[in-house]
Amino acid sequence: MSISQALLPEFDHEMATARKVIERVPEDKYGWKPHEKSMTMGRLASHIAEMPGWGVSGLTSDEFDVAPVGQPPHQALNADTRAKLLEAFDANVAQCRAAIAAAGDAEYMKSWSLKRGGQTMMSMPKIAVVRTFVLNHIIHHRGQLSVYLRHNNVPVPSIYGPSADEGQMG
Amino acid sequence: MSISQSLLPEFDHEMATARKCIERVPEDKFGWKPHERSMAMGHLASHIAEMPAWAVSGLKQDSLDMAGYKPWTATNQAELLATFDKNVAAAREAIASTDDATYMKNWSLKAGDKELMTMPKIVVVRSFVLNHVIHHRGQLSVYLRENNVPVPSIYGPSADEGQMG
Repeated sequence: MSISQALLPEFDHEMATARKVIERVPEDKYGWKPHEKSMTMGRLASHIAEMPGWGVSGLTSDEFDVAPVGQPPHQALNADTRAKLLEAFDANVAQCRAAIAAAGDAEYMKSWSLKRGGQTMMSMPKIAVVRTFVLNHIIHHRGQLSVYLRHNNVPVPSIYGPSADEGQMG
Repeated sequence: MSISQSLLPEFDHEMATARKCIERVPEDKFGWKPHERSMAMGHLASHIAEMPAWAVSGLKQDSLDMAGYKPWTATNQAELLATFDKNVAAAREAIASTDDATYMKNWSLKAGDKELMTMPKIVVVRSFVLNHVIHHRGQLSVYLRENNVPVPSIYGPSADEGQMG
């Protein structure tokens, strides 16, 4: 089994659940946050939506500079409507899926670097970009978002098993 | 590279971060919850601590019967961390000693005679243990923030720690 073949079913499964969670964010609560130091709900959902884009960078180039010298810095997504949020998510997921499917095993072992102003902040093999920086990272923030939803009385979907709201077994 | 060799560095990394989060849960807040339908903080941290044990069942057996399963809740931090450490060590040993062919065999979660779900053993480790721990660790990080406990750097800096540059 190739690395792409091993990654795709899990990618599809986790992205489908991520979409289920971000599409439930009420439009009138995009500005809500649980604590003054927390991300707002709209920014948190946007962060999830932009993240598959990192997989595209990881697999189709060897570095990404968030603030390249002499150029405007990378702008974080902060969608203000559900339509914009889901459009960004769907576009990034589709591109990331294509990039995962197209990469050969040898490519996954090559190194990718995250830079700022030309300085390397971290380097990792491309497989770790997909596994950790994209998949695990989305799962992490999706977990946070599920608490935000609960706080706002939005039913939490079943994620790895039933929630208190949906998907009771038996 | 064998499947266990590809899993172990990620398992070690994610479990180390999970420990960093659960060890910050204040003992006097084990009963705190953000919403009446939410898990209490002690229960959520305990759920994270018991989860690596699913990998031991997944890799050493072919099914697990949930009938009679009672979620475990630690009453103090020492108990919480002792259980986490024990389960992580057992899971690590199971991951390291499983060969590629075994990872492709199926494992089932049952309730009595009823099959709730069936998946290859590699998926037990990847999704049911690793992703599942990461999911609840993310939830716990919000619980910590709401209680003014500094959130550690997890995949990048938090608002409290690990600022880059």
